[in-house]
Amino acid sequence: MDGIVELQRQLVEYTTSLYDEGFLDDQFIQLQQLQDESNPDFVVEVVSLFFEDSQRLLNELANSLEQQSLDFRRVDAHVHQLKGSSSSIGAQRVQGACIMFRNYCEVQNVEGCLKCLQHVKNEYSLVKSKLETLFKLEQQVLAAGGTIPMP
Amino acid sequence: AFIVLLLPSLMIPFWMIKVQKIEDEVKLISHNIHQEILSEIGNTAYLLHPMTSSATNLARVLSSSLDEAELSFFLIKNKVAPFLFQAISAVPHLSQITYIGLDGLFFSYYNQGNDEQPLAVYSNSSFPATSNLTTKYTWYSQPVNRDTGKLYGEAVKTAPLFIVNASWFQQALNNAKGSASLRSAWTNPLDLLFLNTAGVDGMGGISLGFEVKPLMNFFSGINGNGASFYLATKDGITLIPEGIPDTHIVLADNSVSFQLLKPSGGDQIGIAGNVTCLPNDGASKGTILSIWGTKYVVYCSPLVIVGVESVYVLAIPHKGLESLIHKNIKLAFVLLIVMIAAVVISFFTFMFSTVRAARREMHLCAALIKQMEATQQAERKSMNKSIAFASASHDVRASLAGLTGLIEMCHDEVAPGSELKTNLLLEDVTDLFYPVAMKKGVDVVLDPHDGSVNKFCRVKGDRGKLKQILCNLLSNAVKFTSEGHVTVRAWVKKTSLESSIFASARNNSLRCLSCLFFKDDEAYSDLEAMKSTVQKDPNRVEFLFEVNDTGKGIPKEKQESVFENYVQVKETALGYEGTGLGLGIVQSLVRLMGGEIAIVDKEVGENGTCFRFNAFLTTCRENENGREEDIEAHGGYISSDSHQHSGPSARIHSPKQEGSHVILFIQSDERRKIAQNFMERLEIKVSVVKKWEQLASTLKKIKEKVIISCYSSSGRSDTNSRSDFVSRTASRNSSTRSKDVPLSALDGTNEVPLPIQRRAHIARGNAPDFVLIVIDTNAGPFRELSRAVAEFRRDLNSNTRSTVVWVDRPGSRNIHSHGLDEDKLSPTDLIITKPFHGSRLYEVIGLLPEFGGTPTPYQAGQLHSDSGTSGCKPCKKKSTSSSEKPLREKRVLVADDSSVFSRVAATQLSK
Repeated sequence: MDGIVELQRQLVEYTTSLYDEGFLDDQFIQLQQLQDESNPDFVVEVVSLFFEDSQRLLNELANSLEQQSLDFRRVDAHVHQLKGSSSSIGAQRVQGACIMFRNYCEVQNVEGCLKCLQHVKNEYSLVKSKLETLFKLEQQVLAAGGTIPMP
Repeated sequence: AFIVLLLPSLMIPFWMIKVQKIEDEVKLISHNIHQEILSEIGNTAYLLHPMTSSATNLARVLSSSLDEAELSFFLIKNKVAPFLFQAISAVPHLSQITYIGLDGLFFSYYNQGNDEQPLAVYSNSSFPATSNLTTKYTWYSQPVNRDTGKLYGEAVKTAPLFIVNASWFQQALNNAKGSASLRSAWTNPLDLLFLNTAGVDGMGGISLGFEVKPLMNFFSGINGNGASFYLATKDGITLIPEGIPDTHIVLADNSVSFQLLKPSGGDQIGIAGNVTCLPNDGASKGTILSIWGTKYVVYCSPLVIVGVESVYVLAIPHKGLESLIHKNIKLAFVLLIVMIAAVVISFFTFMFSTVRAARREMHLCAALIKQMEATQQAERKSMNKSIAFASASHDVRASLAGLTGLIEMCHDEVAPGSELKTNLLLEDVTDLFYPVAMKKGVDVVLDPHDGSVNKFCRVKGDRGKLKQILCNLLSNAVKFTSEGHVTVRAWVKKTSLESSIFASARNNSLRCLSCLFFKDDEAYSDLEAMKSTVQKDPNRVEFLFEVNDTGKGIPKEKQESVFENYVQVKETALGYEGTGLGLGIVQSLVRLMGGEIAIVDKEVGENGTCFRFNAFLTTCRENENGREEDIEAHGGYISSDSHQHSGPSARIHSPKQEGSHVILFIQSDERRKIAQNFMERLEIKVSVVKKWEQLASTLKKIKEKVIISCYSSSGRSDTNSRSDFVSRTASRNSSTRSKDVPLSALDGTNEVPLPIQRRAHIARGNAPDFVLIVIDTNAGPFRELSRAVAEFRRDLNSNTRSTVVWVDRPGSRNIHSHGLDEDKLSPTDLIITKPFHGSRLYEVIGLLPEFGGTPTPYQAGQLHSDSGTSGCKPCKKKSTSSSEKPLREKRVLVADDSSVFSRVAATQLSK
């Protein structure tokens, strides 16, 4: 029982740290609230959808930026999508990076775009690892028979 | 062209040289001819030369044959005469041969012409010694036989000639060679003869007479070529006359002078010139004389003809041949020049015409090219045009097809049978004119009346026409109203059996407001009878619309004519623009909808005009339930109140028994009255504040009431409570806000005739626990109002909730300009920036707990009108976070390209 409590405490601390460090925002809480008995894996589903989506978009972005004649509108569209999906799961920092990226796209700055792509990738991998850790913790809690404390 | 010009210019000098050569040759030839002529003359003379010697020879022969010393006539006749006859027969041109004896014997043969009988002239006697010579010496002439020479016939005496003594005869005798002279014949003095005489042994002499004429004929051949030959002896006897007309040649010594004679007379005029005669040596040069303007080359030379010395003059026209050739050449030259000129002219003409033709051709060519370009352009243009036409027609057709589709789609909406919502329509129209009217200080109020319109809000009808009618009426009303208000009212009159009940019920209720409509109902009952055929449909509902203004009104006598086209009421229309068509259109539209329009008479003392018209529309009953649900879901008000007349069971929604209390503080009387009436009809307790000064006291009063009611458990009679609430302050004129003002002045019997008794059965043990305050921010200084509200709120117990609705005029923004921020307001407060009627009124009523409202229906402080009016829209992409579930039982299509989004949205919606 103590283990569960400990795990739960860890989970709460970890979640709080995610909010504090700005990886996640209220949108994520709302997602969590939407999760209920009817679809217990909603958050995980959505987040994994986000991962798939983002990975695809990042690849396409990298391809687009490598091309000789840069189609900024295309790039911008991709970034916009990425921004939308990241904001919908509350990945705040990815969203911020995307906003910066779009600004560079608007002025058609290739170097800035490349830099931003790197930045977005970094943020994405960061939030991905964080969220995976979070889910692992949650699963551990669940496996231990505890409940996930709602924020 | 130059070659053509060059050729003549080269040829002409060449030609000239040739001509010069020819001329020279001609000159030479003519000279030669002259010389030939001269030599011919010489030759001819030379040919005649032997004749000279013939006399001498004869004389010698005769002398040899005559050996006698003395010759008798007989001897002469027998010996000499045959000799002479032989000689005359043999020697050519000899026409007279004579033996002349010195003693006077004489014998002569004379051959006169060819056919004439020859004659012999003789003298058979010698000269007598006596002086009377003439009488004794006689010559005889006798014809002679042509063949024998014998005399025959009769001898005729002729005059004798004394030849012996003549000088020429003596000279001949002395000269061994004889002499020659020119004498006439012995018998015929006219016949000139060259006489060649030679002496015969001193006895006599022989004379040969040659005819001049035949000899001269030798020279006659010279007279050709225009040359004239003149021959004369030195003695001056002319042998051949000159051929030059009007000229006489005079021989003098060794020279010849040409005398000019008058053509007619014969008198001498002058001398043309003298020519010295030189012997012809073969290279003599002629002298040039000008006679009568003609130049002649004159040759003059001595010539011996048959021993007679003579001179000949040959006058050849100077350059006769040359001049002829010259003339010809000149003619030829002129001809040549003319020809060349003609050639040149023709050449230039040809050139000119060629150039002109070429130029014209070029012009034509250019014109043709231009024409062709123009044609091509025109063709291009026409092609473009046709393409444009084709594309335009295609576009138009495509658009038309689209339009047709749209029209078909919209047909249900637009066509007279389409669906429309009367309540929304009315509100639209009213709101449309509200700003315009507010500028004039006129209020436009939508009177819900008994709310019956809301019940039958879904009807089939021509939305556009209805709107046009209302717009026309309303614009007229606003235009002619300078102060006061314009009321738009609509209600439903069932055309079935119920209609009478409804009508009576309505009459009951209406009577409270005004007694205006009594008369009209009768009028309308007539109409209904008339239109009964139209109203067979049980779903058909008669709608009555009324537009009431407080303007100038229309004089009674003009009321008939206002609906005619182009008629404006002159007295009232002064200064207003317009065609006067509006009411005519309205009337025709109303009639089209099966209704009738009329002006309703107002009571004496009331200003303005009241137009009323009716329209028959079919309700859509099948939609009614859904609609009610919609509105309910939105927290809106369901206008089911019309059922309250038939039974008091309407208030199914009120969860609590205690009522709410509404305090109305609206500037405009009419609006306030309408709102009050409407609320009271819904059995809501209404307090009306007319002046902002009274607001605070009214609120205080209510507050006291609320507080007291907390302590007192027993309910009061409705009448009492009403008397408190309905704070019709009698003392309007009192400016002080003293507490002594009797707030309980009850004038409800007149103004608020709501059936209180009906409400009595509702147990009302408690004071209102919900107070709704509607405040028009334009009605007073905002600070005072807000302070009064704040005071009212203070110390209010938690049981009693209150909501303040601030009604603001659109655009004026009173609230914000007065520094009232949203956060200063209570979270439950509402701000309405649109005229307080219609849907806003329903929404506000909906706030009341009895009508399903929650204390805090909206988290946002501001209620914008459109969030409430969108009640019928079934599909919204994102739901509000309201605890209500407006999308329940609805199918929602979530479309998003992001899978994350769609998942989240789907989940959210499914909640």
